Amino acid sequence: MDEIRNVIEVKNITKDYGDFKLDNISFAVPEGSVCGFIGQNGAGKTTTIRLILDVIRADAGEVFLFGENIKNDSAKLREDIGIVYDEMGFHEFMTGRDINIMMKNIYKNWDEKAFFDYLNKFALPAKKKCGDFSRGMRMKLQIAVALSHNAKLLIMDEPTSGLDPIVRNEMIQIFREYVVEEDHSILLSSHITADLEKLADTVVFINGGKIVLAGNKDDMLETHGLVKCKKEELDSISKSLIVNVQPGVYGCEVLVNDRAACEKLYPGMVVEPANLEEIMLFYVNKAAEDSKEAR
Amino acid sequence: MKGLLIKNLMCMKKRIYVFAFLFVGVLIMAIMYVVSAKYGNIALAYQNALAEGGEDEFNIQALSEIVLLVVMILPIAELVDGTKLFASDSKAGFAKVAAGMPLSIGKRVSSFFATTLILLGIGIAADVFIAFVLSVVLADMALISFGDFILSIVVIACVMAMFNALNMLFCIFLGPGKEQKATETTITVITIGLILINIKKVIWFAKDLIITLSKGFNQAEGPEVEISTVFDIIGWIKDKAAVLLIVTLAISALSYVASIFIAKRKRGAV
Repeated sequence: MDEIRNVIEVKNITKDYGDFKLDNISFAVPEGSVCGFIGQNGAGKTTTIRLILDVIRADAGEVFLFGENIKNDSAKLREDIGIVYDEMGFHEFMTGRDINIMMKNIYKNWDEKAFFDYLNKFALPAKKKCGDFSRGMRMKLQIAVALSHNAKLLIMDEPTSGLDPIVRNEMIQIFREYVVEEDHSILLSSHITADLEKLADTVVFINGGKIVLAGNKDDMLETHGLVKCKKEELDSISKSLIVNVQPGVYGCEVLVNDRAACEKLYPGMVVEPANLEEIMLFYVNKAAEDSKEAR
Repeated sequence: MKGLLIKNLMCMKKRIYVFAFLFVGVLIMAIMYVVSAKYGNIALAYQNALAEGGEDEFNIQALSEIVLLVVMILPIAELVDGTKLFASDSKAGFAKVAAGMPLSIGKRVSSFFATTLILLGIGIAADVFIAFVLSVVLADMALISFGDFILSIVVIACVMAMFNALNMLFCIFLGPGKEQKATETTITVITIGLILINIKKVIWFAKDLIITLSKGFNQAEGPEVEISTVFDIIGWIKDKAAVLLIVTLAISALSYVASIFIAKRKRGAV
């Protein structure tokens, strides 16, 4: 059986800024998958992406792209990566045509026809200055650029933030079409968990510069559950099952890490499926409480 | 790198248009000056100055040269300003886009230097054309020989190239959005450099100034040091044009190497 290749492999990365530290993080993005990189603002998502792209250097640890250490030749490796940021980054006077002229002299695999096809598909006028584009159009322009050089990997940093639900849905559809190809992969950083729930195969949760949870999204949604109970009932639940407890409308809400076991052990309690947002909130709160206790 | 060069030239498109207007304007102004200096009011003013003994032939010649030099510096100055490239990239947030491209930091820095080199070349070509018109096409009215013009253009180009090389180094050192500060730093560094080169004269001048102030202006005998006039300075620079060229090349090369080194250390600056 063929071994699954990782397009991104982050190994024990540490980056200390003094007031913020990315603390010994490790995760991998398998080829052909969509990895959702979740965390609240300031959790370390953008720093991690900058480390992956070799924009900044880590204090310790290693990053591998397509199996190669980025220290060897990160510029060459970026030839196969399409990048989408939360802000456009192109000069406002530039038109689609200008961007095409620039990019075809930068990327070896630049596909001019594909670029103009994407502009047509996204209803982006090629002669209009991109400074006059709406936010949604700017994001689509970035995606058109990212998809027009036969990139094997898309790295996106909050691409859907600030967009209306219709444009967000359109973009998710574009990403879905992109990953139909077996060797295409996506690392999608976002704090909008609903988008990732629709798209991601695996999820990496980052909080305060640390990975708090990583794994298959469906497994994560399958195993975690939300128990709504009274405060008196809380003590009866095994501590090993509880991730965190939050006050709820009828008493308290408990996130458990093994829904099946909980249902079996406590048949009288209602255990509901938890979504990614709930899982993120409970883990973030748990981390905050843990650090408070440690102090 | 070619793509970034194209992008940089697109960023300078407005300035290239302004340059084209300036070039035409400067050419017309220079021709008008030359014609007037030969047959018009300027010629009359010079004749009067000579008759009254206020100026000698050499000073009149040098004065014409200064006027033409100042006019000819405008097109190059408009074009050769690397800080505008950095400012344009900072405003757009282009550095993060560039960081994701398959280009090394060295190539990204090189694109800035190469762009200003191209623009300097265009500026020099424009000035050479103006010089050709003023000294060869209008040979009958020529105030300055073509050779002298070329020497002056070399001096202008060297000064602009040096200023720009330091400016770009400080832009990278200080980071995006600090282009104004980079220019201020460059001016400060050049001023300090000039003071240090002329430290003897500066000290003598300061001493004499203190003596003059302490004795009162009427009693003072005037400075012991001969203060250079602008004509002397221009003459001195032109005599040392070869040295200036070598210094410019050295400073530009140093600035280029240091810029790449800093950009690699800082990362994400370009």
